[in-house]
Formats: sequence, structure tokens, C-alpha cells
Amino acid sequence: MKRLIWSSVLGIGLLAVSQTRVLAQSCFTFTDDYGTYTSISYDGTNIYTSVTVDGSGSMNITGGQGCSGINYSSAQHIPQAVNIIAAPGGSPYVGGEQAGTGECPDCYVSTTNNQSIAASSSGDYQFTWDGSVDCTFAGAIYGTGGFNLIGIHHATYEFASFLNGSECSYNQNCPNGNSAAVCGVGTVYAHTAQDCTFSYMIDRRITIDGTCFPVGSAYMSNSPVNCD
Amino acid sequence: MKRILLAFAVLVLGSLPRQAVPQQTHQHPPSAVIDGSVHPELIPDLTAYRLWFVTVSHGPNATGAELKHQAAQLSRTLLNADDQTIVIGILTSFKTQYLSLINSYNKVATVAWAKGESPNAADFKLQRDQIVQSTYNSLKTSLSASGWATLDAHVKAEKRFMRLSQGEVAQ
Repeated sequence: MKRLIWSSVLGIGLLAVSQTRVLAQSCFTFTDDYGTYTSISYDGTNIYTSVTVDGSGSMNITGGQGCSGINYSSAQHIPQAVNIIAAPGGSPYVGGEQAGTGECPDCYVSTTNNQSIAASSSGDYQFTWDGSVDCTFAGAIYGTGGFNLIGIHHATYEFASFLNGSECSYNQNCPNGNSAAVCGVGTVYAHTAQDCTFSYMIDRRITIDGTCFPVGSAYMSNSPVNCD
Repeated sequence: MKRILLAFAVLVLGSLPRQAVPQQTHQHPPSAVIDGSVHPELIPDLTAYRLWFVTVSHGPNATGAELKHQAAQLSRTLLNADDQTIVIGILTSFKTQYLSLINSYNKVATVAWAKGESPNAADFKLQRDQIVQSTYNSLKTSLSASGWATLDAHVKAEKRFMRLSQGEVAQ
């Protein structure tokens, strides 16, 4: 029973806060001018993700009925960037929410939340992101968010021929069958004489929601690896 | 009375953050946001470059972890090592100028706000875009021809991972 009473007190408080926000929002107009960018990359060991919120707003006080007495001078806009990467199955995970510096409502805000997690090709990693700007008077004034699945994939390419003295081609040849390569591309090229001395090129790519992206993370080898 | 208390309890519990980590997102306002994965053509090139520059650049005192992160981001561009080194130098200069401009503007805007005045946002955005444009020009003239084409294609393709509020698009 005590817990219920405490909950009710807290609930009344929350209602009061939301009431204030509704009131405050009717006292001014707002133009938002923000952008969010999410970056995903991989270096052969770690997945790296970034979430950037960058831009500014413009707040005009309209001073309607019931707005007198509100002290707007303490109002702040705070950028927030959520960046969470979770291993297949949801654990372990890294990251969370990062709040940038609170600034005046007409100020410019910019914040980037960087995260990384050790990763292998054992399943899809879950990238949860969110970019928003909160006003201490009006609550959330800008926001966007999403969720991406990131996979890591390998493909083996076997030496085929020299194109000239320092460039050569490699054709896809997976020990477990070419159909196993999610991101196989048929033929790839090496661009140095040193690289062309190897029998195989192992190319690593990532998938983002099922679409393949090169990450510039191939390596030369004399042993093939299974494709995935 | 019990029914009212129960309603409040449900309200409060519903507002508490959930334990499962991937749920840590916000309730967003209904303002229109341009989704670059659906309409990349609505994201201006200069805006795409700005967001990419801001995200990939670091100041001169970057940590080892920040540099590793940056190296992975640059590796995704598929630039060769020489071109990547050039990009790092130009982006370091960008970051210094960009943060300096923002800090200066925010000081002026904060004073203006306290007085009930508006800062010259249009002039600030012009200066901001000039920094982005000059960084773009430096990259275009400093990288190898194939490197510039590769980077330009990469940044434009990254529009699919960008979201803009309507005001940003309308600039």
C-alpha cells in the first residue's frame, strides 16, 4: 500500500512536470535545425559506431496568456546521443547515452558518442542509436532514432593472374563453396608486387541490415579460410 | 480510491526506464525528419560533408582510442594510405576551426539570450558553411584524383545514415 501511495505522489509530480511543459510550449514557437549521422566501421577486430547530433534551434517567445512570470533566461538545450552495440544475443554490450553540453536555446550544439566492441563473424551485432535535443523548458524538441543489425563476413579469393608487374587478380574460391560467401564479389585485385606473392586474399566486409559494405580490411594469406 | 492509486502506479511504472539495454531510446517529438535512407536526394551535399567531417575529425590532442576509431572510419572510405594521411591532417584543421567558431558564437548567443535578444544566426551559419566548403576544397585539391572521387562517392553514399530536421533541409 505504501508503495502505491509513493507511486501516486510520483505520478502527480510527473503530471505536474508535463503540465508545465505543455504550458511552456504554448508560450513560444520553435524552429529546429538539427542533423544526426550514424557511422559504422570495422577494422578486423572491432566494430566502431558513432552517433553525431549537430545543429541549432531558434526560439521565439510569444508571451501568450499564462506565460507571464516565466523566467526563460535559464532555459538550456542539451544534445543527447545514444549509441549502444550489443553482441549477438544481446550480451555483452557497450555504450549508452551521452549528453553534450547544455547551451542557450539559440546556441549551436554538437556532440558525438563513439563506441566500439570486439567482434567476430558469429552472428549479427545490434546497433541501437538515437539523436535528440532536449529543452529544459519544453522537453524533447528534436529527435530521431533507429536500430541496425551489423554482420561480419569473410570471403576467400585465390590468385588468378598478373595484370602487370605489380597488380594481380584473385577469383573467389571458398573452401566451403562460393555460395557460403554472403558478401562475395567474384574477382578482387591486389595492387602491390608484395601482395601478389600470396596465394589468397581474404576479404572482410560488413553487412548493415543485410546490405554488404566493404571496409578496406582485406589481408593476404597462403591459407584459405571458410567463407561466411 | 484504490483504482486511482493503481492508475497512478501504472503511469509511473510505464514511465520508468526499461532494463533491456536496446530499449534506451527517447520518445520523439512529432517534428518532421528527413530520412536519408529513404530520400538521400533531400540531403544537401554540403550538409552531408559537414556531418561526416564532424564525426570523423578529431582535434590535435586525440587519444589512441579516438585515432583507432578514426582509422576504421577512414578505412571504410577505401582510400589508400597516402590519401588517408592527407585527410587526417585536413580534418584536424577543420575540427579546430569548427569548435572555435561554435564556442565564439555560443558566447555571443548566451549573452544575447540573457538580454532577450537574438544573435545573428544567419551570419554564423554562413561562416560555418564556409569552413565546411574550404575543407571540401582542400580535400579536392590535395587528394589524388582517384582518391577524391572515392571519398566523394563515399560521403554521398553515407547520406543513407543521415537524418535532418526540416529546418536543416530548408537552408
